Amino acid sequence: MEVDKGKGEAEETRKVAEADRDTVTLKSSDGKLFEVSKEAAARLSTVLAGMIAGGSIDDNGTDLKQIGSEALENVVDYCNKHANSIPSAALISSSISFNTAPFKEPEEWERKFVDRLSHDALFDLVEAANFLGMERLLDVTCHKISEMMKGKSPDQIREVFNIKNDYTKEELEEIRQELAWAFYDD
Amino acid sequence: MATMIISSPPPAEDAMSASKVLGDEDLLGEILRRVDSPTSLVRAALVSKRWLRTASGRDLVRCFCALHPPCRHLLGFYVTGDCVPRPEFVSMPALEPHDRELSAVLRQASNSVFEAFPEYSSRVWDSRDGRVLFDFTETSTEHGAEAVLAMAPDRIPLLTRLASGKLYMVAVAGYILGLDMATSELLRHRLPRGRGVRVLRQPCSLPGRRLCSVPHPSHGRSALRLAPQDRG
Repeated sequence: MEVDKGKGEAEETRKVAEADRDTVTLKSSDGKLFEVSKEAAARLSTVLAGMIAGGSIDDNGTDLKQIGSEALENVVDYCNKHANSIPSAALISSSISFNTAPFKEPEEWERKFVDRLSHDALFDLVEAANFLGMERLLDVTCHKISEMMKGKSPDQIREVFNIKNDYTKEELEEIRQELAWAFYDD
Repeated sequence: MATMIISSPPPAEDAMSASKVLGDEDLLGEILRRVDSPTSLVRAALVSKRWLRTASGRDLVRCFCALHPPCRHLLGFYVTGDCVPRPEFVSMPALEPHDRELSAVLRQASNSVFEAFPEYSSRVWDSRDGRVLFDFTETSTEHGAEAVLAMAPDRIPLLTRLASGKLYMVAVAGYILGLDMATSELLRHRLPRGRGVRVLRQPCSLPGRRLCSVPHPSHGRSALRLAPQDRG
C-alpha cells in the first residue's frame, strides 16, 4: 500500500517536472520573457511548431521581434487556457477540421478571453496570431472584430475603426439603391 | 472642376493597431467573412472602396454563401381581391424575428411596395423564383365609386387572420374562406348564424378574395397560387 501511494506521488512529481521542462521561453519585441507549454505552443501555432521541430528555440528566450509584450502575454495566456480547457484528443481533431470547416463558433471561455481585451489589444492579438500561424486564435479574434460591426451603419463602422470614406455621395447612393434590402431598417 | 475635400484629422496614435490589421487585405477578408449576416456584409462593403473590393472577392463570397445558406421558408400570403386597392399581407408567424433580412423583406412585403405608388391600385400577379410580380394600375376616376364607410378606414378590422395553421378570411357576404397550411386545402365555412353572432349587412362591394403565396426571395421552387372560386 505504501509502495502504491509512493508510486502515485512519484507519478505526480514526474508529471510536474516534465511539464516544467516542457516549456519554451518566448521574448517579446520589448525584451520581456514569457513561458508557455511546449506542447500547447506546438499544437496551436504552426510557426512555433516549426521552430520547435527545427530546434531553433532559444532556451534564454526565443526572439519574437514582431510581437509586443502585451500581445505576447495574451498569446501565452490563450495557449495556457486552451491547454487546460479541452482534452487534447478533441482538440487535435478540431484543429484538423479548421481547413475544411469555414468557421467554428468560439467557445464560452474563448469569448470571455477576447471580450476582456481592449480595442488595441484585440487588433494586436490578431496580428500576433497571424504572425505565429495560430489559426484558432485568429478565428476567435477576427470573429470578435466582425461582431463589432453587427447592426451598424457604414458611417458607424467607419467611426469605430477610424476609416476614411473614399466614396463620393453619388457612388454611395448608387450602391445603396442597388442593395436596398440591406438598408430597409435605416 | 476639382473640389478640395478637407479630410478628417489623421488617425490617433492608438488607432495604429487597428489600421495595421484592417490595412492587410488578408486579415480584412478574415474579419469580413465572419460578419453575422448578408446585411452586415453589404454595410461593411460601403465603408470604403477597398472594403468593397475585399467583401466582393470571389473566395470570400463563396465562403460567406456557404455559411449563410438561403432560407427556404414561406414568408406569407397576399390576400387580394377585385375591389381591394392594396393586397393585404399575412406573414407566417413562425419566422425568426431576429433575422434582419427576413424582417426587412416582410416590412417591404406589407407596406413599402404599395406606398411607393399611392396613386395606383395594386395587385399581386404571381410569385415564383423568389420574386413577386405586382401589377400597378392607375386608378381611373371614371370607374370609381363612392361609398360612405361605417367607420374610419383605419378602424375597420383586418379581415384576414392566421390561426392554428389555418388562414381565414372573410370572403363575400355569408362565408369565411380558409386555407389549411399543412395540407394546402381550401376550406369554406358559412358564417355562423344564431345566438351571439351578428352578421352585419355586407355592402355589396365587399371583395371576393384570392390568395397568393409569397415565397422567400431565395425560394427556388415555383410558388403556390390559389385562386378559389369565392363567389358562391
